[in-house]
Amino acid sequence: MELLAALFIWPFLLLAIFLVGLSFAVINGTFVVILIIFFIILIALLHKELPEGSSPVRHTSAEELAQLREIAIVFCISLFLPLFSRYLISATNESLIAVIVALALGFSILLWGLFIKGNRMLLYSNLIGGGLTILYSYFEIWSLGPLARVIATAFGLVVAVVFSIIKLKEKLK
Amino acid sequence: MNAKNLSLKIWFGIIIFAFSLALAYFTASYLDSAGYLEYWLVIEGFAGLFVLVGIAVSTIFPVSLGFLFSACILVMNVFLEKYDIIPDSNKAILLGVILVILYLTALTKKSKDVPAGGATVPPSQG
Repeated sequence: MELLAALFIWPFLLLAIFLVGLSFAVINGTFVVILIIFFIILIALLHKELPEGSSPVRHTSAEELAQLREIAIVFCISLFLPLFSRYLISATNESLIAVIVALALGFSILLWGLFIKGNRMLLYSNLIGGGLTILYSYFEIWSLGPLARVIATAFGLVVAVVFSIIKLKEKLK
Repeated sequence: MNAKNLSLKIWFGIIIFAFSLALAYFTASYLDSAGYLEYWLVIEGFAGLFVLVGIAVSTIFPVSLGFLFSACILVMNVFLEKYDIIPDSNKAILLGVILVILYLTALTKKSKDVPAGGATVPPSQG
């Protein structure tokens, strides 16, 4: 099973990266340029973080490959999340419920990313993906009228308060 | 594994990839021009077949990867041609399935520890 997974991952990642590019190109051609810039920033972000004054660490080809796989997975997850929300909202004719579901998804993914420990891939993909999903949902909400804006703002406030209570409880004592 | 063996495997993988891809496209063109089957249907059929063959011969890396990458190219070509006409609900399902697989991969792969933000607190002494 592990052998199959190891075999499948590269063609699958190639397909996933292609789908990200294609989906953004269908929306707007200029998005592809933004994607390339995003990918370069991601490589810089996830590439070895050197402590100050130390010499660069030499990686073996297997480590380099594993790092590239990590970058590809982060890239795909963080961009598939807003795309998934977009298609979900679009498939339901931009209904308020779908927008709220997308918003809840964005917030839960972002919170998961904030609380995660020991997995760099999930940390980055959830933070970027969740953030982009929330941004996209708020853009959609803006066009749905005042009631939707009220619900969205209330939702954001509740999440922020709950998060603060859970995470900052000790500091408030 | 010595370097000679590795390069041989890579070359055979590339050869299998190229020939399987050529076979799929030539067969699709022939069947379409002869009026037997539609072009994209044949391409989709070959993609499915190559995935199955790739799984079946998973112990032989060059053969398996050759077929799997070939299937990947065929699927990409199908998407490039038909992505516009796929309904948004189907796209949402497709992306949802891919997201689940990516999350499963990210969860199962061991990653480096997170230094900041999600830093682990050492257990208190005493």
